[in-house]
Amino acid sequence: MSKLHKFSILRRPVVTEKSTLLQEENRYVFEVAPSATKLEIKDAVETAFGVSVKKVRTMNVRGKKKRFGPRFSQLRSWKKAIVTVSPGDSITLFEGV
Amino acid sequence: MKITQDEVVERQTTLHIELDDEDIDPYLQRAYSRVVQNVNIPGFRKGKAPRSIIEQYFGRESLLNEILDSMLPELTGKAITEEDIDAVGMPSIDLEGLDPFQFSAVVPLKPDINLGEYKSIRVEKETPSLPDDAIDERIEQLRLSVASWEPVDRTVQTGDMVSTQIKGTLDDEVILDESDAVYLVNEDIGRPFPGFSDKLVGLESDEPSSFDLDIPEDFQDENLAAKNISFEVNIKDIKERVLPELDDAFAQSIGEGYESLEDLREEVDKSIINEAETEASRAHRENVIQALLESATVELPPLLIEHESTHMVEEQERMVTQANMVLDDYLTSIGKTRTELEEESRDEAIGRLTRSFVLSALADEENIDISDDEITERIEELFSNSDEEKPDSSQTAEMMDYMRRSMRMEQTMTRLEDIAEGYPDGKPVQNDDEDTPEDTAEESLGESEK
Repeated sequence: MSKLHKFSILRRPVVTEKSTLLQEENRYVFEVAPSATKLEIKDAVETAFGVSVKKVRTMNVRGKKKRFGPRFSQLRSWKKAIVTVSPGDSITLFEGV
Repeated sequence: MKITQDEVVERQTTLHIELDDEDIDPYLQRAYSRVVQNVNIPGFRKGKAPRSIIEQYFGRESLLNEILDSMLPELTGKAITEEDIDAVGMPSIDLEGLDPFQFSAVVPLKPDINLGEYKSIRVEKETPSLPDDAIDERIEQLRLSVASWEPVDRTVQTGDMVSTQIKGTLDDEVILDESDAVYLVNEDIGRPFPGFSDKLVGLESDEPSSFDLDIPEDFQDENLAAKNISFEVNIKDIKERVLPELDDAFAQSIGEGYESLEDLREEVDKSIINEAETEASRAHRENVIQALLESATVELPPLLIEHESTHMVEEQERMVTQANMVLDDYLTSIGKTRTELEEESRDEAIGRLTRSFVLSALADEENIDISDDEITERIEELFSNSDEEKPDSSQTAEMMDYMRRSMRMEQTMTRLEDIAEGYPDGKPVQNDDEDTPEDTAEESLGESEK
């Protein structure tokens, strides 16, 4: 498996009600490359935001089945990572508007 | 909040206000809570997005714009209190920048009022004078008002009412064609055209006749002015005004309660005197105010005048709109331009403002105060005569406020009239009737000179 470049591991921050709530507990949510490992994610976050990462939890999110007119199709699946950073560190996320 | 104040020019000053982040914060919070209810942001339910997200999403400036309308006057009010300025009326606010947040407000100050030597104002009260034939005139009017129209068989005379078939042509073009037009033959009225009535005089009924009429140059309809119109008329019937005899029966027909002509004369006499007196005291009051205005000097802030006159123009516009017209059209119809109207309103605004400020300054000067008891008493009195239900307490507060102001004005006026009559320090309590105020006035004048 070819190694991913550090900056292609983190795809976008996930900005939702739930993720905003998690920020209170120093946990930040990202969409990451499906092949990325926890270690790679930790490394990427530390480099990109200059924080120290305590823990990384990941999960695969199954694409939902949606109907577009007559046919069904499946939305893409993706990998979500919840990164806990050490207390005192923080990440400012900028959602591209 | 940093406030710098310019020098006071013409009773108004400019405040320059700069806000720090902490001053803005509560307003951002308010803007946020208003905005958040109405926007959909992906990832959040409606109304659930946190402030940081909203701020990133819309930007601080557009949030501020949202709240600016209520924010600026509020801040200006705060600044005015902080700088301890005697402000009156609406400041005019000018936003200079959002980052840093800066704006300036031109604040009209309480006008500088110098009442002058108002204690020495003396205005003679004019006794109402009545022409001797005032009663006769009034009764004649009453007679006219109950007169009846009786058909007569003779030629038309001035004062008659005729109904006629009429056709008017101007250069072969029919401008008027009615089969049953009713005209009052009276040249003073000048209808339908000046000179028309004179032409009717002497005509007989059921005898077609025609005449030409030169319309004067200043006739209101430009299309007809200075033209020559040919008329064909055929008078159908002629009625003359029959005045009732001046007798007791006439008096009874005027209204209930008049038994005889004598009664009626008495009543008319009373009401005429009453009217004249009301008019005289109104005129006197006006004269006294004018005298006070002449003695007083007032410097009004231009901004206040501008607000008042704009308000007046708007008021007029509203009234015209209610009559289903557009202000500009209305102005054209009375031959005025908008600029003229604005100038007029300006002059009137100055008059009104001066008057109200001078009077309230006088009230302050003379320490006129209305106690709550007096107001309650007055309200009780007002409602005791009417079937209307007494308003509940919430309305009463507003009403008391209004009553207080109007009673204060009323008392100020009375005081001013007392001064003008020659009691600079208030009128002594009078025991006897008030038929001879002039005599007593002169006496007290004489005393004060000693």
